[in-house]
Amino acid sequence: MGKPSFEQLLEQNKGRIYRICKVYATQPLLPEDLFQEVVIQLWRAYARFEGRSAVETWVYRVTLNVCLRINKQKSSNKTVQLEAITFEPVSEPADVNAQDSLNALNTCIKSLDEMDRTIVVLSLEDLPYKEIAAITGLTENYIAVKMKRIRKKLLNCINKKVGKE
Amino acid sequence: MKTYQTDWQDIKDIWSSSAQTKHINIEVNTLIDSLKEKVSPWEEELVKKDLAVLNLHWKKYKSAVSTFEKQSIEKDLSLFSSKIKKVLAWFKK
Repeated sequence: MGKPSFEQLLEQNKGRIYRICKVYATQPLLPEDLFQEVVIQLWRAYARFEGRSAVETWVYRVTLNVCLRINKQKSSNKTVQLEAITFEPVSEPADVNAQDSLNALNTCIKSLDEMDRTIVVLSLEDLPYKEIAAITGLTENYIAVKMKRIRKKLLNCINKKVGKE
Repeated sequence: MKTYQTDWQDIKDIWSSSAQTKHINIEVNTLIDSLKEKVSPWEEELVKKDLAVLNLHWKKYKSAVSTFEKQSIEKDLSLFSSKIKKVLAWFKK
């Protein structure tokens, strides 16, 4: 496992970082604010990253730590603005149904407690239970049992929200 | 009326597409320059704080230990000199 350049690391992981920031951003914080904080923290920690674990695992760990920490501080004043990062809405508006589903999914994930939210986010990122266990410090068995319940809860919530039941 | 149920695979698909609502543009060179600017003062501040704490403790530590050491060295020296004096006196005999 080699160590990618910082540029490669950002390019390869910006999508997954932003997805997670969207779930953890709560007013007055925007996902963009969290994203920038994550980039700063990745930069600070990059020198110490020795490439012993998978890059993605390390990125998830840093991202989740930043999102949880900043949300606990509940302050938008201290977030740093990096002008080199810009966010543009996609030119074509997404399909209305897809947008509704996405909003419903985010709302339902946000309604979960902190640990369940972390587990489900990592699971949706397609991480095996072993890696989720390494990031969260929980056991694989515990995660498997939790995921059964969370999946059910999330499906119920989304089906209610999008009115398909 | 039940028409369609969202299943887990649908949720995963929605999740995967959730980053596609915005284009994220990163000017890497500019970013790294500004990160160096922004992070360094923060780190300098931390280092300064650490140094201030170390200095404070060192002053306390230094004064406390030197008194103790001075006393014990004085005792040791007086012991040595008395022994040496005894040895010299023995040679003079």
